[in-house]
Amino acid sequence: VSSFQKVGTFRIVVNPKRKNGNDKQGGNVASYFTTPDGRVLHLIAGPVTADTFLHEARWAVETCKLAQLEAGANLMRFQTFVRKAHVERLRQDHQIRPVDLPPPNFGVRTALPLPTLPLSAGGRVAMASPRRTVPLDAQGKVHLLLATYPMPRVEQIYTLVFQRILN
Amino acid sequence: LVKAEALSAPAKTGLAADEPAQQAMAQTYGTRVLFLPSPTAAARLAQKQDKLVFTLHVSGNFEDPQFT
Repeated sequence: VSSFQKVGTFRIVVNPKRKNGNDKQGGNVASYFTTPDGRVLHLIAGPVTADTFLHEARWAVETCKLAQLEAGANLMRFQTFVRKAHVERLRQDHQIRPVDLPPPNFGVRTALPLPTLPLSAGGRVAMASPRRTVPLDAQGKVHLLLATYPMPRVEQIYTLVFQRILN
Repeated sequence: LVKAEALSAPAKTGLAADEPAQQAMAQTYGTRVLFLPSPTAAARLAQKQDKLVFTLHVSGNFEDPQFT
């Protein structure tokens, strides 16, 4: 079941350093796959190809079905399963080991935006062992966000997605 | 944006007959996806049909054809 929401606008800013003299600030798109009660299972940050979109949509649906099978109506078990799915995507797609990830926070219940992504400067993930940083693209940051805060509500993260992931 | 005709058959939209306003406002915007007018309406319908909700957040100008 689909819907859309306008969450901001963009503006054209004159930039004398650019050839055409203009910069566009703020225009972007984010696609959320949520449960009917508004908990985010997965999201796609920014515009992607149709194939990528279909792949991610199918992943969200299949992950949800498996979580229902594993957890039933138990929210904590459901969240744990979804977290594991995002952790696995980080391992497979971005070569980030589960041991390097921050501990999950299941208790976020306020409507406030989440404070920060656990990223160091330049959008890199700080690894404890061996000490190194790994660059993450937008979709990697999405998995990191949803592995750290499993199944947040849309209103808790949408500003974070636009400001920290989509810039 | 391509303004699409609102679908009329309830069976096609999946909307219940007692939701005529939402049904009239649901549009495809030139795609094969039917978008309900609000996330709340989509959530209600998803609850009834035991489905997930897909919500598109757009930061842009809907009046501009190249809105993002």
